[in-house]
Amino acid sequence: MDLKKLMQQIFAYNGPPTYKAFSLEETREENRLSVDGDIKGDTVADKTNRNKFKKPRRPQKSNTEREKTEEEARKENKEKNFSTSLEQNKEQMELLFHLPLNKDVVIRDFEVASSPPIPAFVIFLDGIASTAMINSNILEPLMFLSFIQAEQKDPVLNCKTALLKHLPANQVKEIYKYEEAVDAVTSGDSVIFLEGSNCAIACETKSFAARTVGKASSEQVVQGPQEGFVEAIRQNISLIRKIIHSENLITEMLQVGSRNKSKVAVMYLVDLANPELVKEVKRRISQLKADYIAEIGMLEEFIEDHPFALVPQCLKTERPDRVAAHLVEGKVAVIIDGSPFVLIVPVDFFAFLHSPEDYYVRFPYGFWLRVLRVAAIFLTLLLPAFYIAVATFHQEMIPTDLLLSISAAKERVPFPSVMEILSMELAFELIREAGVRVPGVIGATLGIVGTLILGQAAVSAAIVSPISIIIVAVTGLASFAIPNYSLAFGFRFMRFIFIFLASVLGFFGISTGLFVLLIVLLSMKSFGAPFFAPVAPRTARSTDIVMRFPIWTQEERPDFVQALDSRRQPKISRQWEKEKYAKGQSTNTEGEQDNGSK
Amino acid sequence: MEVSKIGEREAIAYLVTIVIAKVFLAYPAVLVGYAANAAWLVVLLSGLVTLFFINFVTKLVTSFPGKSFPEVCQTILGPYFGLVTACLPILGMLLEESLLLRNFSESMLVVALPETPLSVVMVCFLGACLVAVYLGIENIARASYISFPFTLAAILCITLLSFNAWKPDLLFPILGEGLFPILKAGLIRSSDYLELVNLYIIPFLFYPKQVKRIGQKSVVMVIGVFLVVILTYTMSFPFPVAEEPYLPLYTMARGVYLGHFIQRIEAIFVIFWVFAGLLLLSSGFYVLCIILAQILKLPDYKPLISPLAIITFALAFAPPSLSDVVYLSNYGVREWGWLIYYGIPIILLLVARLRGGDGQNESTQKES
Amino acid sequence: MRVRKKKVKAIAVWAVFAFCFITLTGCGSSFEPNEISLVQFIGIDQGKENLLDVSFLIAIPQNLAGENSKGGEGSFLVTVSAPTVFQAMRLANTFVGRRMSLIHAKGIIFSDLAAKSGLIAELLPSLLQYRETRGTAFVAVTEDDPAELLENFVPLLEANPSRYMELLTQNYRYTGYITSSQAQEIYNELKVLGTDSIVTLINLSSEELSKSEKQGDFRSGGSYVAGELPKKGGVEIQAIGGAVLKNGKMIATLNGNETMIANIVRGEFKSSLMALPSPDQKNDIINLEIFYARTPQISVRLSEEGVVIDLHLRFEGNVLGGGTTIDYALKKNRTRLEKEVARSIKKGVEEVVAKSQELKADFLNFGLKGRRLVSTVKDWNDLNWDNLYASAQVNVQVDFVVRRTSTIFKHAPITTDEVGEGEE
Repeated sequence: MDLKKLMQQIFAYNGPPTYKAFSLEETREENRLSVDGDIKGDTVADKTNRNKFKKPRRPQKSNTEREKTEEEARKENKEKNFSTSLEQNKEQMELLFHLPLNKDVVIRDFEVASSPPIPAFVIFLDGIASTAMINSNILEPLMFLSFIQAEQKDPVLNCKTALLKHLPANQVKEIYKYEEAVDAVTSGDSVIFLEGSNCAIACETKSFAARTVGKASSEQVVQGPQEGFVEAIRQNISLIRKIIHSENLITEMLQVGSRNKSKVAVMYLVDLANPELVKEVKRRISQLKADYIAEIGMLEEFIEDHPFALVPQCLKTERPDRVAAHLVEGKVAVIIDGSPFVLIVPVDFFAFLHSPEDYYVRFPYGFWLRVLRVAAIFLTLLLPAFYIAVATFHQEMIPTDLLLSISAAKERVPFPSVMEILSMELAFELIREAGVRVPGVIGATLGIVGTLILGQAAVSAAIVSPISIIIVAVTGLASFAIPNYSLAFGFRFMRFIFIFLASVLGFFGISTGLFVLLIVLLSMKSFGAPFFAPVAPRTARSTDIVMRFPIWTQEERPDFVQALDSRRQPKISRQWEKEKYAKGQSTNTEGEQDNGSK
Repeated sequence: MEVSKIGEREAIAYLVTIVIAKVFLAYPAVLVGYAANAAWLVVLLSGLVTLFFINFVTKLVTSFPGKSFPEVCQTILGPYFGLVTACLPILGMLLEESLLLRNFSESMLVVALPETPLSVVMVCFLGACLVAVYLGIENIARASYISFPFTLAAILCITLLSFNAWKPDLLFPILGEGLFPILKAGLIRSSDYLELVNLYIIPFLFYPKQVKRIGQKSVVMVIGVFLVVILTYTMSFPFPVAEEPYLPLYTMARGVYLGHFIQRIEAIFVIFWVFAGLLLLSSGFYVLCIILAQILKLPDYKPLISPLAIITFALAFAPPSLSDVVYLSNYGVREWGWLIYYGIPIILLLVARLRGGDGQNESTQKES
Repeated sequence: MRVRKKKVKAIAVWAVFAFCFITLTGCGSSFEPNEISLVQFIGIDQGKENLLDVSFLIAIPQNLAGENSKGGEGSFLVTVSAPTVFQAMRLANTFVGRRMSLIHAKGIIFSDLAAKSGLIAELLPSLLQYRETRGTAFVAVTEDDPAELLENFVPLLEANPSRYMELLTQNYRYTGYITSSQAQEIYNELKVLGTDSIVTLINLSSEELSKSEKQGDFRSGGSYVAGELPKKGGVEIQAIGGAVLKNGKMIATLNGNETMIANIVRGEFKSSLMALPSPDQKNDIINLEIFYARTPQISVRLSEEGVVIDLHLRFEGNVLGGGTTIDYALKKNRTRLEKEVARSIKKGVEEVVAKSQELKADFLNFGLKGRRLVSTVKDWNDLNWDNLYASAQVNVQVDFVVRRTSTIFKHAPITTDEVGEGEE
């Protein structure tokens, strides 16, 4: 290459760039606001109506002449009924689905093999409608069965006859509006339009790509069922129905999200769940106005009582056995399509301490596991704060030898205790977060190795004292022992508040913090049920709060649910003990016992 | 002002907690000052006196179900005298609250935080109380129900673990200061159970049917706790020494020494003491707010929280030193408080009886 | 939602305000563990220059508990002349870098001059009133210089002198030669009529053993006072016996046996090993481990002459054998032994009682039982117990029962020319 050219290219100015870099400009609406609107800080908001002087509006010209925006036009079209002309229907559907732009939508024209033949078309979304089903349940019968008699006088009846007699699909529906057709197609059904009838048939042909039922990834038990929910709502409902074979188990379907239109199922046992509760759940879900609600966590935030609280008020679980157990207690389950977690309401605080394992092992072991978890909660919340309070304020509370070793360990460390603890906590949180992202086996090892090496190196470098490492490690382990993920998160967050309080005010700060925390938790409600029931307010005696008593003693349902039938076991559930065993007699137990297992 | 009612167990836990919160302060030392080592006799006597007075209290509550305390006063004594009577508890409680706030904060400084400014501790106390008061009395009662077994366990721990230092001989001479001082103290010190008057000042919190049982059971439990504490305290410390400390239970906790490891357990003391103190303070504050709101016939008590907080805070700084606070709160208010607080239900019931048909029939007519 | 947003904003503002308020006023009372210097013992002597000479033994954490402990001195001693102990603490801070703190002070040691001039009664109340001092610290009196004594607290088995002394002062449970003189107990006894205190006596030891060539004579182990015991090796201190305080002043010392008897009568005795010449052969010494069979029963009554105190002590014991071949497990021999032991203990008790009556100091705490004589405090004060006790008649009754004889129940004799195998 020419040296001069090279030099020129490198050092000289070669003119402005030949292309314009893409940048996303403000929309027309925001431009208008930036001139007219109220600038507060960095955002531009519409001027408050208070200051705006409302000009009188000129009377409008008649509606038909008014310019419609494209959006308004589409909306209006949707609400129309079908026309009887096939061509018009096809045109309208193409308009609504943005054909030929949208390559997913397929319109298949065919003729129904009746005499005379009726032109028809079927419209479906490629990928979510099962082609096999369309071929065998829709196209095959309609195109091959040639003995169908077309109705000449009333073409509408064609639709109804086809529906009743000629379509061997298991779920079909008559629809009359474009809106319904759009909804049907977007949820995987196929819609069949017939010439001359203003009704169309929506046929069930859903086949979404979905995960098969596998292990519940976030709630493992050692002894117990291993199935977990998947994303498809039908399969989840079927998993629950596998456990509760009752005609009173009701599934009501609702829809949320105006753009993604997710299906939400509300399941409950109609002879147990309080009707007011069900009504409230449905009311809250149906009155949500949002664009996109696709996951149970989002839905939970939308419908819970205290969205700003640090502890959750609804239980999210991935296990069908747990959902079934809660349903049998009179609670309501909310399932959303696309999320393998199911929401259970209303729930008391102690349900977050329960794991299904407690019920599948024998009573003393379950008892012990619960005790361990309560200890884990206190450790998570209070251990670092305790250490800081004792080491900096109340050195007289620890034995002399321990104080001397803490003091000696801190000789070379340049930071105050609070800084040590906070930096180690930060490191631990980073490792935890990093471990989530690293895939597979490396993730698990990374956590352990990272903590150990990091900790050891930090101690050798005299940046922290070894006691801080122990404290932080034990706290982290304890937070893993809390069965509910959201609750663990909440307590991890609160731990920092307690560390701050302890570093400023010692034990007094910790106690005050505990008091305020307790009072705030007590005042919370979960869907109308007090959060700490049945401990406070003290309602009926319960055998399953913190400690679990044997399963044959759990005779009543939890009181706060206000179920319609509060007795679930008679006083003697082990009826086989009642009968005396007599030689030569066959022993048949009298009653079946109705155990609810969680 | 919608308040949900609390059940029997919670009510008992609530009342007992707020009465025994004073055992963490100078109460044992004060009692020893009255009757030397016969302080436990004073406890028994004052408890019996209180049981007697509680009957009147519960009778007042059950005779006027559904009415608030100012309403009851005004129904019985007429609008003006009734107003005056209803205002009496306010003054007493305001004084009591500010003295308590100061006492707890100063004791905190003595025990744990010697160099923190007093106002910081007081603001923290007050802040926590305000949150609790804002969230309502049911939550305070529930919190006391949850912490009740732990508080009791802590007190038992401290008192029973010091068994090494017990000398039963120190309980003799059996009559301490003498029979007459004991009797007098037994009567006067029934005002140590004054927090039980919440039964008739905030009657909407309790179910009227249970009030009698709640009153009696609470008094019995309080007597039990006080007895244990005072007995062990006078057995561990001879009475001239026992009169001295600001915080007798703290001194006892410090003296626990069961070998090399079980010593220095006063950490337990600090935690539960702060809890009990916060419950007592929030409860007193709530009663203050609600009485004022009821007298002024306001729909809600929440706007009164901030002004009353500021007044309490300012009043709390009035006594110049901690010993003044201890003398004022233990000897000033408490020597005459029993007359006023137990006297009010007695007078009300008497006047209601005297007015005979007028007083009570009027009230029953209004309800039906 | 706007209301909720405003509410959250308000809460956030208040939270920030609270945060600032709390942090800007400073974390006043927080001290890092290595910003304080831990005083382990306090030594108080009459001052030469000022009122007091106060010595503090301060721990060096690195040497006591650090990873790279150089194994050097675990603590260092400072002595300051000052009018009071607290001023001495602050004056020590003029050259000790870290703030002096008494939160882990395990012992307060007075010199005998200080004790005799009543400094214990003067200083102990103010020390206990201070929030850092603990009532469970021990109080001791030394007849040597407290500073020198503190310098000798260099333990060999433990790293930490305070742990060593804590264990040492708890030894009363199985030796009985010292009392448990915790500061709170001494303080209580100062303020109660009818009780006087015994304070542990700790002296330096001369570290020499006698060099004579023949065997010395029998001398009961507890008859030494601190400092007299011939010993060599180990830490160079001895804690035997006690100092009697009357009205806060030291008036006498007790030797080990007397202190043991005082423990016994007070009810604070746990166990001890006695050595006693056998009743049959005076040259043979029997070892006995004695315990209470029951706590001492003391009853006090008033008669025309004055106070009559009945003291009934019951012991049980474990014979550990000795030089004798007489089998004290057999009943006929056992009774003789029991009587001899009871007689010997009774003699000891009577001697101690006589001593206490002579000193007019009721350090056996009979006054605690005397409180039952009256019914009000005023009467008790009027009773003037100290004088009453000095002229009291004390009846002592001691019982001793041999429960077991350690691991063997039959003694075989040692064979000599006269005595064969297994012969009696």
